[in-house]
Amino acid sequence: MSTTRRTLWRLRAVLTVAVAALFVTSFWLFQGVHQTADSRAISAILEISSVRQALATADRAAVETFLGTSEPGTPGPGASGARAPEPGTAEAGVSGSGVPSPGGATLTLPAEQEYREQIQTAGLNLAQAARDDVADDVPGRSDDLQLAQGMLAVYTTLVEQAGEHYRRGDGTVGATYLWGASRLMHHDRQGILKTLDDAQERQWTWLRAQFPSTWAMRTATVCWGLCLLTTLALLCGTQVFLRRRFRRDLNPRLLTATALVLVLAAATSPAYFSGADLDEAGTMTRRVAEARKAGVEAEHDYGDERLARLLDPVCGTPGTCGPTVAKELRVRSDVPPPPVPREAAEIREVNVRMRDATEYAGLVFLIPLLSAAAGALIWGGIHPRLNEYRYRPR
Amino acid sequence: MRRRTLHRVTTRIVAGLALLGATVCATACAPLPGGRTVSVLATWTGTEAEHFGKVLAAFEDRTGIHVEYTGTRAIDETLRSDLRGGTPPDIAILPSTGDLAQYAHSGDLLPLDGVVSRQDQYGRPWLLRLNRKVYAVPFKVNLKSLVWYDRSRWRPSPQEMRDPLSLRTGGRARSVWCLGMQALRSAGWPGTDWIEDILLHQVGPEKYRKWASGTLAWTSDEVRQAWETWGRILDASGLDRQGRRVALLTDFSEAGLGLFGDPPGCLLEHQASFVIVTYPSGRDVDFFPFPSLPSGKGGAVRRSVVVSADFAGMFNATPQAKELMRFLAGDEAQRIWPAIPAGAAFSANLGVPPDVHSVKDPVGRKVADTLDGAAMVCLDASDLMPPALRDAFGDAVIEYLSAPERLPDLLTELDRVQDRVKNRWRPNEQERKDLLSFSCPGPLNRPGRPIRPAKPNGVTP
Repeated sequence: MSTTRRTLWRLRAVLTVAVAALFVTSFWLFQGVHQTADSRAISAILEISSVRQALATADRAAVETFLGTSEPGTPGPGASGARAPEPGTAEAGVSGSGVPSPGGATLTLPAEQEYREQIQTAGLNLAQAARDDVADDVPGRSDDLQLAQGMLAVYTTLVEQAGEHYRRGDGTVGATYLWGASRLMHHDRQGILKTLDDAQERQWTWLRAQFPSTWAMRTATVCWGLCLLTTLALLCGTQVFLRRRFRRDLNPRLLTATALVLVLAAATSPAYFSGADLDEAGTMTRRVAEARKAGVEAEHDYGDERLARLLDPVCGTPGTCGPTVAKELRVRSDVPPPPVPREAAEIREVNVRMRDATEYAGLVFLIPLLSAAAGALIWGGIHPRLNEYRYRPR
Repeated sequence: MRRRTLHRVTTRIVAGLALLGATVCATACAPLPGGRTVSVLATWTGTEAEHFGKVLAAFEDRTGIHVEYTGTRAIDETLRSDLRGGTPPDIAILPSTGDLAQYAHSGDLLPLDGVVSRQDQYGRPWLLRLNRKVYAVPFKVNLKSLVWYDRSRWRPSPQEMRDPLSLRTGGRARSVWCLGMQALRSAGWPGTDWIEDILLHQVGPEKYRKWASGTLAWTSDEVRQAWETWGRILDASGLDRQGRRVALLTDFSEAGLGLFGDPPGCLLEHQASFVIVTYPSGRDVDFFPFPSLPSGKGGAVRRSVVVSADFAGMFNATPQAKELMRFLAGDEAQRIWPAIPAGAAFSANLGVPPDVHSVKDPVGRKVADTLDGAAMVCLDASDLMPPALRDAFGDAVIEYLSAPERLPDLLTELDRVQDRVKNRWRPNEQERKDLLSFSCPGPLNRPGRPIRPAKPNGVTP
């Protein structure tokens, strides 16, 4: 084989490998970012944090309902589900769960209404979060959202039982069930909110293990850059070699291949914009989750202060409700009412960023198309010169 | 030309060998069906989970199979949601045999015949049998009929140990009994333990069996008498109205801490053997067995005990799950936890003698001896009841503690719940017989220990 033919053969082989490597790294980079952006992990995190906030609010509202209306005859949250009113009782003829007013019309207490709304919101968001859960493969309980759903059913039953006993005028047993419900909600190791917190942490762990947050993104970037520069350098080198060896103008097919490689680079680069959007969405989501966590704590503090007021008359004297109440109830003086959640604008921004992060995902088809076209042009550009040397020993 | 041909042949041989190697590896290194893991769900968390972890570690070392363990107190909800989602754990270990029986009836719980081959390791009634098939084996037994006290604070006299109605504080504490009815998702069960113990020790195992299996009415004289006796014991011990309310709000795991106060808040705690793990370490605790109580119609019933047990059942019949079931049922696994000092675990496996408990754990050894010395061992009746009745029992305890005068209404309501439950699941004749014999499996009768003569009704004189 002649030296020129061998050089041409080698140039073609090296260029083919370079274009193939460029295709692989471009695809890795592009899909790595967009597959993470396409996942529902961020949505699941937002939904779980929303469930936690709704449940903390519902628990506080349940306590407030009984605190304000603990006298006999008041049903409280969930009473309608506990037992149907009997004819002839104070509730006869009252539909739904309202409290009978002196005039016979029904009046739904704001706190009771808040309890119902928040439980409904939590139930819907929990179901959506279970659909969006992507972190099945993260170590730990993968079905903690299902567990939270089961525990929520127990919680609402306890509140219903509390309502039933308050309705009968049995404040002691009513308070016992309400205390049990509140413990189930807030228990620091096995409560519903802790279970949801674990589920949320699982989504974060999954996100941290995904392409854009790991060494893979940096490695893919370096490899992609090297492949791109190598391919361009090889294409330029081949042009120079052909020009010198064959004394001709620029090879048009190789020139087109060079242009396609540049277009391929341009088509891959949105991965960085999408990655930046994803980063920003993650940062904003963390801010929202932190704000909601603070909201949950504020609801817990306020609810505990209310629950202490409800339990003290049951125990007889304040501070004599036994070791469990003393240990678990966080009673502080002058607890401010929990702030109204104001994360709506930021959540909208998160959604915009997530939309932006997936905007270019459809361009993925260009990567194999451009790579294949560039490869074909490289072969087509070099092949005629190789043919010229087929039977020419030198 | 010859060199090129040689090169081509060599390349093809190398490629062929590589392909062959890859195929062999893909076949040989492929995981077993279901992977080399087995999932286990149980109630143990914290220290208990650490102890159980030692059992699982021994299994992993021996088989190389990885165990994914989940411990949660909300095991009923977890298992139900897992089953609903079609992803049950391979093995679940739960105390509520009533639930296990229902899961066996529905086909979710799989039979162990052919999996646990050495069933003679257990006294026959100790294996949960339904329709002549074994569905669960006891892994950890807890002795319930115990009364705990701190010897450094107070020691009851023999008369006080025999007659709980004679117990008085004598100014030493606010109340004789430490009482806590709260539990994270099933309040009231410590009170159900009281009723079960009193009933068993007043009227004996036969009536207890009938009551546990739903054939003795809640409004019967025997059951009503047990509730009233509990009320009298609490009244006599100085537990006032406020004390009862505090008991309603106190978690069972914290009630006993009153034993160790200075002065103590209470003197005695009626609680199962597992309560040891909640006591501060280094305290001089001791117990005496729940005393026999004279009933209105006859003499006292002696040496019967109530136990609860965590039963292991299989929900997925993978090779790994079968392997772990075999291991958990065997005496090697059943020795590990009891051998841990203050581990508060006991075994119904006949191959695990009481001396497996460390000499550093005299209380554990004494519990094991008490269990072995019992003439009749009955399972916690509330664990045998269907979940709805069990919950209603706990609710009734709470209401009774708050307003004892409501007892007749509460018992009538419990009868009503029992009727409703019967309508939902009607065990056939064989299942009824199985559950009846299972409620009081009898003495352990370990080899080498004298078997006590028992009357036909199981009561040892």
